[in-house]
Amino acid sequence: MTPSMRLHAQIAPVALIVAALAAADGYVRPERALVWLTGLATMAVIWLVATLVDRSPSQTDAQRAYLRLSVRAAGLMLAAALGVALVRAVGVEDGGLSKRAVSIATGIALAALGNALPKVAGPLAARRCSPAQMQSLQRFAGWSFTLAGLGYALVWMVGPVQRAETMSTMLCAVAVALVVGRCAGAWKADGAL
Amino acid sequence: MNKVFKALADPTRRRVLELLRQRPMTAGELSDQFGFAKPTMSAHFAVLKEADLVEAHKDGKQVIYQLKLSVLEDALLGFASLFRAGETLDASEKREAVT
Repeated sequence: MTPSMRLHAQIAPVALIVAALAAADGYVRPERALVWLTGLATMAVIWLVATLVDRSPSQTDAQRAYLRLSVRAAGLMLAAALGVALVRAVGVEDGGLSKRAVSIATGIALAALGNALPKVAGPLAARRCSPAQMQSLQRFAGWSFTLAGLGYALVWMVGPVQRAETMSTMLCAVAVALVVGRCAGAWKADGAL
Repeated sequence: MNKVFKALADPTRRRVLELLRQRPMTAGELSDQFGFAKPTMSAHFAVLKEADLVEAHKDGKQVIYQLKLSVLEDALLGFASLFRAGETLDASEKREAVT
């Protein structure tokens, strides 16, 4: 099986679940077309971008595996969000439990992706910047996203729903800001990135 | 995961990983930090590669090693170094060898 076929074979089932949930959502509440159409369009864009990235000859096997993991995680998060919307649309009241479950899964997915990030980054020799700096950035980004993901999941596990939303978003924003800040600092230092 | 634990259980291999945390290094640069023979160091590098904790690239005649740790493996390395895993065993083994 070629890497491209492996990618499609792994994305297709997730995309099918997203499409089925979107169709069910559309059937139950056609007036909220924006929600399920956005879900469907997002999945299509993710698939398209993943296919384009996967075709790049510079991709290593580890990077391709990471790409497949990321796309499946994104698809499952989309499916979970559509599932929650469907549950609500059919009138099931779960007291915020489904939202909590989806958010915990989102946090765990972010932590898993952050965990794998430093391992899948390409050969340092291929980069134009200092290998030491690149390695340091990769490790920093990995730790930031892993801790943010774990914090995100923890906040949704134990915090009240109203506050959890703000706190988890803030955690992610801080992680992204730290990584972007560190990258900008490295770029400013030697203009190599 | 067994291979990772085996690799991290040895203080020399942990020291290699700690050195690589600073920057990627050549096999020669790493070997210079230890008083071991080349084959011994090569065996340590092989265990680290087998566990997928380091990656080796050829640059001319030199082999450059770089870190390939996930965040979890990085944390395990930190814990193993903190609790000096494997060092007590080595010391007792050495004592037994002497007596």
